[in-house]
Amino acid sequence: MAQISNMELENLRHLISAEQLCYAKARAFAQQVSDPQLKSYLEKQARSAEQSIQNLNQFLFS
Amino acid sequence: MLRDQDIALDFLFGVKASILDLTRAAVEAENPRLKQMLIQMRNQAEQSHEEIYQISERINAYQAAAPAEYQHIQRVSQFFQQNQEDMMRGAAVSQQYGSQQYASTYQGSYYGNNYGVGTGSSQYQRGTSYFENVNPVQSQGSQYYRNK
Repeated sequence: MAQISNMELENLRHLISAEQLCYAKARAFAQQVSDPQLKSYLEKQARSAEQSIQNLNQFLFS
Repeated sequence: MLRDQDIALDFLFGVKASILDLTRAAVEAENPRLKQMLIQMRNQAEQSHEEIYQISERINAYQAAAPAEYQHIQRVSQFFQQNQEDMMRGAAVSQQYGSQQYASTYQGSYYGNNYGVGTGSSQYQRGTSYFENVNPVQSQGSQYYRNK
């Protein structure tokens, strides 16, 4: 397990939660918007948030 | 039902908050690998913010603040120019007194009524790190950034 401080743990907890919310919102909103560029942006955001969650989780589960 | 404009705005503000959170987390990180990753995520978030800002403007979800008027910029510019001149004048005077004088009068110059006037600012200028923290322009970031 990676060596992290309490402060880092708190920040990771906050950031992972925020990325999870971003992922959920981006996926849901991408289905309902009509502007193609905004839709593309949201789909990209969803992928980016998914990747960020995986990256941040490394520090908790590795 | 949320409109495209509402959704764009939600992401515009959300990504901005994310940039601030990532920046703080990166500064507070001790683990070098984590720090590097947070900085990289922050940089990507800045690019994402620019992208959603452009979209938000295009679909009329957001209107940036108007450019500052010339006379307002000039007023602020004159204030800092005068401040700078006072500091330079003060620095020249303080060099004559030497560092002992600086150490003994620093506190008095900051808390006293003569801030920014005459020799009072000379000691202030030497405390550059503290001065930078209280500079209102630097502490608020650029106008361009805050407008978003």
